[in-house]
Amino acid sequence: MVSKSQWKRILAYFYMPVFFTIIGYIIIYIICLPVISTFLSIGSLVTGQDSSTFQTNITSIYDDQSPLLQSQKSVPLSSIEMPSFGSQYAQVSCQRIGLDAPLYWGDNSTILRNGAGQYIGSSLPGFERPILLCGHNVTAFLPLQSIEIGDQVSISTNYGTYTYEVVETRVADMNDTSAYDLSQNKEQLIMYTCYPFAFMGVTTQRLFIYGDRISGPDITGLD
Amino acid sequence: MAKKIKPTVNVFSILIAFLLSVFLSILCLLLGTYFGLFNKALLSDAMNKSAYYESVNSYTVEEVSDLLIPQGLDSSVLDNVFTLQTTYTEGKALLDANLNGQGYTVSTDNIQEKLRNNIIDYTSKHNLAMNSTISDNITYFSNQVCSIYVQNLTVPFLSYFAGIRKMLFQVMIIAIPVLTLLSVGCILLLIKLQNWLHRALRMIAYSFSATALMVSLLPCYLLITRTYTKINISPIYFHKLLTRYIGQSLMMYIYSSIVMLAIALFVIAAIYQIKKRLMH
Repeated sequence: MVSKSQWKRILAYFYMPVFFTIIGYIIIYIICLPVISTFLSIGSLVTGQDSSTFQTNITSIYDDQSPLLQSQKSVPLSSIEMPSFGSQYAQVSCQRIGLDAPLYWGDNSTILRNGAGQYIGSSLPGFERPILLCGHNVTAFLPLQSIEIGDQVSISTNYGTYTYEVVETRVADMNDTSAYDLSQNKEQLIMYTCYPFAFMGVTTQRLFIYGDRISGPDITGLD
Repeated sequence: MAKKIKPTVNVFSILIAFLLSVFLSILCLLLGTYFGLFNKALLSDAMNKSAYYESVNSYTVEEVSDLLIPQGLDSSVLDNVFTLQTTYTEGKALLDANLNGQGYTVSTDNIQEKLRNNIIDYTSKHNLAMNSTISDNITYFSNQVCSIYVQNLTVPFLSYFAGIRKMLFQVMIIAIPVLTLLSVGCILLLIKLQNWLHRALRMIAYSFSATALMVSLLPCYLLITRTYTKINISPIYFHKLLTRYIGQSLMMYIYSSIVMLAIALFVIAAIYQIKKRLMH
């Protein structure tokens, strides 16, 4: 039979180490208090909510049967689903040259393997700002080698089809920042790809194609 | 009748026992860090078990494949260019050199030669004209591929490993003897303060148990919640290596706390034996 004092001694083997641990951690907390928030901020910068998957998820919000593809004069901003990075939101085509490629929001290597990509610092069709698209000259944008001034390029989205008439094409160096202006208050379609076509090796030149919008629904609610 | 212990002696004993647990905790943390976080064998093991070298090859192939498209080449030019044998040999040599604070240049001559031959075979199969511009382009491309390969093979931050390990060793040369002396001093003081040996040993058992708890609490939390797997670091093979390595390093702290707990249990057994002898 264990006596009361013996029980006390046995319990002490448990609560005394716990007591020491609590006091120890309190002292560490007090000492580290000035730097704890800094460490936690740095920690939150380098960690995520979940373990990373390291993949760009290629998804699609594009619906070629969308009722909004029927010609409408205007579309409210609230009805437009904004694409996330890596999602196909449109189809870019030009019948005369045989261009017909899925258009993705974003422009990393995974996206360009699947179709044409859009620089996310540019605007969506209908938003009255420049649209910058890119694609490989041996896959999605191969047909651009035949494009001419006057050709019509269409971008079909879930909220409407926008048509752009090619007004200019030029070859520029890939580092030439004057080749496009994303700050202009004009809806200009700019497509670019490596140049020349059917060239094996590294090329620093790019073919730029510029188009002005000629049709497509206006978006209401834009401020 | 047993002599009553003065309350001040009790309080002082508890204070010394607490200090002893702090000194032992710091000792365990230093040893755990040196034999865990800065353990060369652990890093090598983590690289082997996380399939690091195979992943470097497959990641390099994937990265280079994206460069092939605008070059007008296809993935067949990469056949047998990156072999596991070469990657393992060069990777191991690079790792050993970095861990020892030495420099090492990864040899890419074989890769360049194989890649160049594959591209030339490809051009002749597809009847593509070969001229000096294309030849220069092939050389430029091969150099680009080799630099990607070397970059992928190099473990980031490893160059700091040897330097920090050396600094830690310098700290340990001083800290371990000092902490050991302080711990022994606390133990002797506890024995001196108490009239009975088993009472002093009880305090010592509290200290060792507290050390086991203090040292294992945070590593256990990290191992159970796997917070360290949420580090945003790429590429994926480096993330796997780092999470495996951190996991194994945290286990070192757990092992040291198990040792402390074992000592505590031994001391408790000794207390039991002493009391039994006193009863008789």
